[in-house]
Amino acid sequence: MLTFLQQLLNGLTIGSFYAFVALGYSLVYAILKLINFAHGDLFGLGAYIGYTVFVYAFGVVGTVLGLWGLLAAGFVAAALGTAAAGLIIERVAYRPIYPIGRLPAVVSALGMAIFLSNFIMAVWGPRYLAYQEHFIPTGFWQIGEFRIRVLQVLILLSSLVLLGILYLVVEKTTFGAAVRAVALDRETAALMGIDFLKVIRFAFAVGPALGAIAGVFVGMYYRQINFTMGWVYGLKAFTATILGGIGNIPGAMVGGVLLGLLEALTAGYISAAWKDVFVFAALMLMLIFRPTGLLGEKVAEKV
Amino acid sequence: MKWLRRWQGLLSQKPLRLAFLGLVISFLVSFPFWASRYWVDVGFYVGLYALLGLGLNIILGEVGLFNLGHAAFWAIGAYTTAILNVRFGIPTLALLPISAVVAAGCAWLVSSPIIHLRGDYLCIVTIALGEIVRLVLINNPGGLTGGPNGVVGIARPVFLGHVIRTPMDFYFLVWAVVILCAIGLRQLQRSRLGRAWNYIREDEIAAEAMGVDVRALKLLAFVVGAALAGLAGNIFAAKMRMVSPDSFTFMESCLMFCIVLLGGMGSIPGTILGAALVVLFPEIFRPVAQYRLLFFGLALAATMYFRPGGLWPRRRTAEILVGQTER
Amino acid sequence: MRDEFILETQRITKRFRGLVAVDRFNIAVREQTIHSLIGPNGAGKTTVFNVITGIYRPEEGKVLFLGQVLNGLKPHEILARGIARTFQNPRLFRNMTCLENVMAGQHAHGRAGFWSSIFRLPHQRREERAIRERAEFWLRKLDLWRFRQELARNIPYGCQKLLELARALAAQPKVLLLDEPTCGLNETEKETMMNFIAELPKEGVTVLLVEHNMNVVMGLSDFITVMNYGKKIAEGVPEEIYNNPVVIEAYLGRGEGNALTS
Repeated sequence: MLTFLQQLLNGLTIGSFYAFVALGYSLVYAILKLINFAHGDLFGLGAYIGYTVFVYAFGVVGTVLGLWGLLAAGFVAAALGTAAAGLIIERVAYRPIYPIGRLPAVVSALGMAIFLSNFIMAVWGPRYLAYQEHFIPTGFWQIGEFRIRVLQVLILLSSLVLLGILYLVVEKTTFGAAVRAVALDRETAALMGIDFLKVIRFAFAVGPALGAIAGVFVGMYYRQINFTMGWVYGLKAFTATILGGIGNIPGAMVGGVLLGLLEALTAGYISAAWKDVFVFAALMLMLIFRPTGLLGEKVAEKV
Repeated sequence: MKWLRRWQGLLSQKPLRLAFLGLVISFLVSFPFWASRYWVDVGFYVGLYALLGLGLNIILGEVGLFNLGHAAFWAIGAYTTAILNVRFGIPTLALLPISAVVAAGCAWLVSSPIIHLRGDYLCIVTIALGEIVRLVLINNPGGLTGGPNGVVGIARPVFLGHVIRTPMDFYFLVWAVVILCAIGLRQLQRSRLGRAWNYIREDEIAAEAMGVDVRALKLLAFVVGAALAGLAGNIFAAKMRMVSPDSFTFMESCLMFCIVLLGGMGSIPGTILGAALVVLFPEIFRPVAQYRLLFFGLALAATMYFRPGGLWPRRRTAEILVGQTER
Repeated sequence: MRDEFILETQRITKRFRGLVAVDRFNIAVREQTIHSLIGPNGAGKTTVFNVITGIYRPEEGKVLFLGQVLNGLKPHEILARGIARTFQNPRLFRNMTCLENVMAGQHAHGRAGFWSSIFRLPHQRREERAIRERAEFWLRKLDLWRFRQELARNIPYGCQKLLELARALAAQPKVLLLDEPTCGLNETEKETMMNFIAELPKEGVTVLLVEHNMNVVMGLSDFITVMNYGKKIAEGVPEEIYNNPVVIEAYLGRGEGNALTS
């Protein structure tokens, strides 16, 4: 029972990471019908920006604002920096190409992914960097043998709050209606006077920003980051997107958490080495039997 | 970019095309005799990636199926060779066709349930497939694949008593296979099956309504594409004399995808050109080794902007002109 | 007496998420006639085509062709039995040449397989030549010869419609389903198309025609079936349909005038 609870908590935490990253894929896919392969590496970039702020601003910000101020500064910087990177990539590598066709856009996205991970390697080096203890909240609550870390609570809460806010924005505001309209039918939306570019910019700013927050959390949770982390988490998060149903926000959340749980429970009860095989097998089964994902709606094809 | 188009226009004339082909072939044949061992090795890798690219070109270029897990079939070919040679002592060269058949068989098995998926969904499943194969290899089921270290000690291939060992030997081996495959594919392109593949790519529903068995032909594309990857796997294993899961990452599948799109979908010379670019790019940028992949990423995006149809797209109109039955 | 009908649907029903597009619809087409299927927009005409050609599976009912049930067959099998079609908006293989497009019609009749194609065996060469000659025959016949090397997407719209017809005819069908063949054509092109369709029954091709242009329908049809909201509302020879009040109402709603004199 104890292992089960512990794995459940682990699964929820990992699932939150995936949910954060999955959202970026989902938003961009809903609007452009493009798999933004660079999104995983934007998440990696976020982790590195956060790291840099923590290390170099520790002396200044850390003494003035304390640990929590430092953390806030790190998250804000990571989110803003990565959002900027996302917007630049959209402007430079996607906007000129997506009118040409989807395949060229996919290649361009792959190109950006390769570029970004190598950019990170060129700037921060190929080796693992450690998130040091003094800028991670290390507290925990102990209930019997069951341990809940402050960090885990922080991760779970912020994923609930941020994704909840995003959900409300998309579902309840006028701008959100514009986003949904563009997702349904870009041309008609444009004819109705919706600023298509604004919606795209929204997707390419909010998605990477959320990814960056997840990146910093991953750094704190596992204490180390590497320039290849974008591929690994990107692929998993993408799987989560599909599991939940691409193009909808609750779907990304559900998919992420489900994937996290599946991973943690397989690792705990079957085999840690085979957990990813299970994850990808689940993805394949899902696509074969219900390609629209758990929360997706079936769309009849028009002939 | 205009010069490229004009150049292609010239090549549609038969004598000029033959002359160009002759030039390319004499360059390919003479290359290992005047280049250094290092560059002969580079030439080998161009051939290897050309073979992989040609295989993926059938799936992605001819039929338009997004396959981002082609490295899996390459891995299956390589491991088939490694395991059968090291465990059972079957000669490496004899395993060349066997690897192709095993890779093709696996392709048939795994693509049967997913072949109805379209576009991005198929793309994602193939990514998952590639990862599953790599993870299974790492996890060493039944002690067969040797885990992360892979399988070592693959015997050198022997061709009519001649041991294939030097870079030059492997260079000729791989290019002989590439050229044979390219000729075969060229014949297919100009046949009923090749056209049917293209009909599917252009409009799946219209193709089906015109009597094309879409499912069977998609499967055929996967099987043939995987067979070529299996051949590449065998040659790669023979050359390295070892195989390990690190060689068959998602990145490799991405590179193959880029080779096909850089060259031009469904274009055989384009695919070979794409392979040359993808292999040569890091070599040329070796002085700035650390940043070369960074530039590669940018170059991919730039190519897609300036030449979205690829660098050497297939020219159908010119092809039809040749051998026209004029009355 | 069933045998005289070459193509028949029996109470076919097709629903999309609760919306009934085709509702227990019957149609029976006599051999070597031109049979028109008309009705207001959204009446379900194209859906009937898609059910007959196997693109949609009907929830209920049967499709009979030469007395055999077609249900469950895939579109390519149905074409091989002898039913070809065109689409409302031409669905050509846009990045292929016109010749290659027409050659597609011959695909189902080809036999050459993988290895014989790679090695260009004699029977494969013979077959390729036959495919090509038949395609060239239809290109000439429909006056598209000048476009044979052009990519399909580059030729004028009217010619694209003709090309699609050539492609369908190259399949040597017994029944040809035409989905609005004159839609979007100018008067000259319309005339060419009509004259051509009128000739088809004499060559052994039965035509099932969906068309909005009443001049075309009245001029060509031997028999007309009218549908609305997925159901058959009238049936008969052109004169009967022309004066049928139910049909006029379906087109115009309650009101004056004759919708069919457009």
